[in-house]
Amino acid sequence: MPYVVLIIFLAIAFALQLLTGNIPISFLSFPLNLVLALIWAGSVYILWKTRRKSGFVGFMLSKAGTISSILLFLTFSLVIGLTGKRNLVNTWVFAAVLLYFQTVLLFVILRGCCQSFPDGKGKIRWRFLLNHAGLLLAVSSAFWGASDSDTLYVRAIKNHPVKEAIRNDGTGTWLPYDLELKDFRMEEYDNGVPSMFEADIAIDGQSVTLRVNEPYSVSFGSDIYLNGYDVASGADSSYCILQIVREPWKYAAVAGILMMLAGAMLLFINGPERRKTEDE
Amino acid sequence: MNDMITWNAFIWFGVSAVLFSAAGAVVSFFVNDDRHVVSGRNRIYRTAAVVLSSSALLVLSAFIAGLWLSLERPPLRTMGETRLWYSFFALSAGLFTYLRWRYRWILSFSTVLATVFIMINIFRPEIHDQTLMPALQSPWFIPHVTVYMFSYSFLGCAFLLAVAGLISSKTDILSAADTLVYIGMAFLTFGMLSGALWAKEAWGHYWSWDPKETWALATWLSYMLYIHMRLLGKGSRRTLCLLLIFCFACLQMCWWGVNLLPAAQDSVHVYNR
Repeated sequence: MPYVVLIIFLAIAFALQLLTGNIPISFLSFPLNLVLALIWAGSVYILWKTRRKSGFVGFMLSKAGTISSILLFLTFSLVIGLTGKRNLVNTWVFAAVLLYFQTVLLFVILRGCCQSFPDGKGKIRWRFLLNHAGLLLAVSSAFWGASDSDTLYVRAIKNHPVKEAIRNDGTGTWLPYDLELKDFRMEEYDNGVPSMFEADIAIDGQSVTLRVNEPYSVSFGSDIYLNGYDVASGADSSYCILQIVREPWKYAAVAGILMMLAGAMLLFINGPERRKTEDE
Repeated sequence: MNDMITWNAFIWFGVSAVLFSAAGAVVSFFVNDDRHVVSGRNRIYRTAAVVLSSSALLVLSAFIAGLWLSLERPPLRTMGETRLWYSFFALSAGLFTYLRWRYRWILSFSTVLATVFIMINIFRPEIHDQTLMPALQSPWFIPHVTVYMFSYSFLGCAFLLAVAGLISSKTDILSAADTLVYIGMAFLTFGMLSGALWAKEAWGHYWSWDPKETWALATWLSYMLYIHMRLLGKGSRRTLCLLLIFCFACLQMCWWGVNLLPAAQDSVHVYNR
C-alpha cells in the first residue's frame, strides 16, 4: 500500500510534467517559497506529533522509506549523469523526488531528536544530527531557494559606467548601482595560457579589485565575479565580463555544508556503529 | 635545472617504491596469523613489513616533493599527477589498515593497487606542463584533490574486499569493508563539500550539475545507500558486495569516465585529455 501511494505521487509529477512542462520557477519567488516551505515543514511536524502511529508516518520512518528515498535520488542523479541533461533538475519529477527525500529526512530527524531527548535524559546523537540536519539544510536551501537566485552578466566598459545586465536566457534588467572598468591586468605563461587576470572595478565610484576565485560581496546574498575579458585583446581589453550572482539562501546552504563537514569528521573518528553488524 | 626531479626520473622512484612495498607485503605473510602468538620473531617480521612499506611511501613522497619543486606548482592537475597521489594514498591506506587491524593480505592488496597506477604513469605518461589556469589557483585546490584521492584509495580497498567477499565466505569481510567505507565516505564528503564551497567562490554557485559533480553525487549517494542498508540490516551479503562494486563503478565514472562522455565536453572539470 505505501508503495502504491509513492507511485501515485510520482505519477502525478509525471502527469504535471507532460501537461505543463518544466516548473515555472519564477512564480515561486520570495515570499511564496518561504511560506510553502514552512507549510511543508509544519505539516510534517504536526503529522509526527499527532499521527505517529499512522501508516503514512510509519512508512516514512521505515527501512523501506529510507532506502527508497536514497534510491530515487540516486536513480535521478544517474539519469542526469548518463544523459548529460542537467535541465532535468527543473522537472516536476525531480522536484517530487527531492520533496520525498526531504520529507523522509525530516521525519527521521524528528524521531532522532526525540530519541536524543526522551525526558531530557538521552544522549544527544551529534553525528546523526549533524549529518542528517546538515544535509536537509543544504538540500532544502537549494530546493526552496532556487526561485530566488538570479545570475546576471554585465559588460563593464573602461571608463564608462553601465547599469544594464542580461541573463543567460537573454532577458535584461537594470542594476541598482553602476559598474565601470578602471583597469585590467593580465599575465601569461610562455605558451600563451593566462596565468593571472584581474580588474579594478568602480561600483558607484567605489573601487574594488576582482580576480578569479575572489568575488566581491556587494549586498546581502549578492556577489560580483570577474567572469571574462576580451580574449582577442588580452591585457589590452577595453571591457570585461562581470557575473553577478544573487543567492539570498546561500547562508543556510553554508550552515548545512559546515554541519555536514563536522558530521563527516565524526564519521571518520568514530567509524561504523556496531549495533546491527554483529548478528550477520 | 637538469638536476631537478621531473617525470623522466619517475621510473626509478616508481620501481623502487613498488619493490619496497612488495617486499613489505611478502614479509607480512611470515607473521603468524594467530593474534595470541606473541613471539619475538612475529614482532620482527611485523616491524620489517611496516618499515619496508613506509620506505615505499618515503620514496613516493620524495618524488612528489621534487616534482612539486620542479613544476613550481602543486602536482595535482593532470590525470598522471592524480594517479601519483592515488598510488601514494593507496599505500598509506594499506599501511594504516595493517597497523590498525593487522590483516596480512591488505599490504598485498594495496601494493597491487598502487603498482597498477605507478605502471600506468611509467608506460603512459600524460603531457606534463607547468601551466595552472587562474580558476585552479585557490587555497581549495590542494585539499579538494588530495582528500578525494585519499578517499578513493580507501574505497578502492573496500572494492577489493567486496570482490573477495563474492568469492570467499569469510564472515568478517563486510565489517572490515564498513570501516573502510566510513573513512572513505568521510573524505568523499570533505571532497564534495570543499568542491561546493570552492565552486561558489570561483563560479558563483555551490552546485551546477556539471557532469563531474553529478557523478560525484551519484557516487556519494550510492555509498550512502550501502551505509544505510548495513545500519538497517537489509540486503544479503552478496547484494551488499555487489552494491559496493557498483559504488566503485560510479566512482570510476566520476574520476575519469566522465571525460569519455560526449555530454561532458563542456564540463568545467575537464582540464586535460
